[in-house]
Amino acid sequence: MTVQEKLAILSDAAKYDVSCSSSGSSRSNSGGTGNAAQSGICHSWTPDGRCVSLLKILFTNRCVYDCAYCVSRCSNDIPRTAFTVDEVVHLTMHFYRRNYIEGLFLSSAVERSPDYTMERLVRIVERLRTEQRFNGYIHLKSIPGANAELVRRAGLCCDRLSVNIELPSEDSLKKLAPQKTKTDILKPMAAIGAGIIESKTERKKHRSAPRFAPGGQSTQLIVGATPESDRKILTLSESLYQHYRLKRVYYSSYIPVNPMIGNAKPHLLREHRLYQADWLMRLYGFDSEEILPETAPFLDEQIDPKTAWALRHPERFPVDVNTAEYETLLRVPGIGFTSARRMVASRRIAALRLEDLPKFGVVMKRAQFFVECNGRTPLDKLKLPPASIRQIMLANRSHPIAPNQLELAF
Amino acid sequence: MPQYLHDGSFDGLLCAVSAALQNGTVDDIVPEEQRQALLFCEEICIKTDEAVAREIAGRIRNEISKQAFRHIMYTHLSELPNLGKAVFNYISEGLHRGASIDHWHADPSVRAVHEACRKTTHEIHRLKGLLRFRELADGTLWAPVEPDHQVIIPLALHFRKRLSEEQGIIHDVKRGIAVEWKNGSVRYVDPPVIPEISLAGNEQEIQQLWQTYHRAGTIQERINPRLQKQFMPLRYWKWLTETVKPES
Repeated sequence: MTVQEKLAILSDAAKYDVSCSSSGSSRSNSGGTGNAAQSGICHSWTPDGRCVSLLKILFTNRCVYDCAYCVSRCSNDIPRTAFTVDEVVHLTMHFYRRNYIEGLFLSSAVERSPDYTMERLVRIVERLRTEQRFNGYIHLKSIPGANAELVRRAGLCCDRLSVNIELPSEDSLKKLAPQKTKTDILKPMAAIGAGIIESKTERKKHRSAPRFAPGGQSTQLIVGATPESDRKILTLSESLYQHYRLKRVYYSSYIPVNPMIGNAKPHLLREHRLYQADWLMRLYGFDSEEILPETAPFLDEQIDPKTAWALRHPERFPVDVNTAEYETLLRVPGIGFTSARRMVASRRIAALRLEDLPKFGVVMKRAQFFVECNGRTPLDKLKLPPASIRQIMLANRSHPIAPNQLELAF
Repeated sequence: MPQYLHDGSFDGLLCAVSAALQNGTVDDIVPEEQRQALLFCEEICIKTDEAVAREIAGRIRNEISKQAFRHIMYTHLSELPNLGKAVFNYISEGLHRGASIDHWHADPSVRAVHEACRKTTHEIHRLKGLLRFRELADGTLWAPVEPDHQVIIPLALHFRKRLSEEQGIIHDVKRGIAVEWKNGSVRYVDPPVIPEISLAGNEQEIQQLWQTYHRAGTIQERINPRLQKQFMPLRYWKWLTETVKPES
């Protein structure tokens, strides 16, 4: 089989891995090829609007597992192939120097055993780092159940490691991926987390201590293949952020690659709302309990989770833009961290006026219901009940959202 | 109030600002080529003097901030029209207030400078990803591009670090200029003549591999070309390897 054909098969199978990030590492170029940009760089976008940052490929799609949601499961009748170590190294280097990619995202199906596969993956990244002196970004998918020494070796050459948690609960895992266990997934996750913390403390003592996955660790779970509620998913993510110090949890709306489970179309709106909620937890200081109280198992599809929270808490608004703390400003719908930071910096020089707010990047369409300035509100003291605000917001939307519209036929 | 004319270079702009600062009043600062004769306005042509430019640049760095200097430089590189007056206000107010000028987001001049600077920075970042090198027969990497702003120098500085063992040319086809990085230095060179360019032997094969990869990475169930174009505007597609047929 030619490299062309292998690439077509093995990148097609890898595309369901969502992570595209190349950020969080600032590896410099010490006489070789490449460096990593702290912010990450997107290099292209495919017609589905997802960015291409890394060369995302499977090493092989020959798999011993039979997970119901996976296109490469062993019971599927599809062409099987594997790259050689050389082929992956050359593809990466050729693509990188032409600026097609920011680095390599290497994953694999499980051929023979987790250790056998993981050993090959580690060999590829070690060769890139030592023989080719490649300093670009490398994200390695750690194989569940692989031995700890291999994971340690991987962490020393990669910028990011990830283990997919796959499904939001153990029951679902048992049902759809019976050969994988929760321990297989959580054990390497904990090991990677410990490695990162250890390397960080060591580097505080002496700067030459080796870095371990400086871009952190991430994971991915499939939404919509199993019946878990949004509340359950967000609580899970929250505990992953808190206990395993993950950088990111990615949500992948289930795409029915195999008949038998799930919806006919991916539910993109649900995925979008989950990401919004995830952002609120990671960057805006919300906890999952605030976003989804016990009475509401699912996120409101019609309205974003921050506005939904604000409408449930009318007693907290309006917020005075000149006196409110940064953290309080962050909780106002229509104000993000860039605009909040600008407002805090600017009001040290001169008091803010309501008409200045759009200049800071505040989205008045949402913020107008929730801010005030010296006792004045943009709506002139018209105190609207939450239900009316909701109605106005839905009516003013430029693209009305029909419930589950993305499930309709195109 | 006089209108100051300069030669359009960054040094020229700085000299005009310096002259206007000494004079105290200014109607506008424009490059000569954008000059519009005004009826009731005195015109002063400023001769570019490197020493004067260096002096005012030093004052901006020391008395305002290095970041402010970068803002002014990127505003100049944006090549957007009608920003001379805003740059003047930004500098004169900045020399007064110091580094905190950049916190004054509500001021129209500060905002205009930040906005222009943001556009340039954004395009630089975007092109760090969207630039596509082709390997030439002699091993040099060549990237043609048609950017909105004058961004090839900052781009070359990025690739000098990233691909330090290679040599390459970034070619602004729209403006007919090119910069080269080689052995750690960056300089302007004569742009290559495109029809005469000969590519390396395996170049076409690698381009096909990349196109294969790009096609295979699309999830048909999620297709959304509007979103794709939002991130990757059509004006950049001309020089992208994945959106054109392989070159011969």
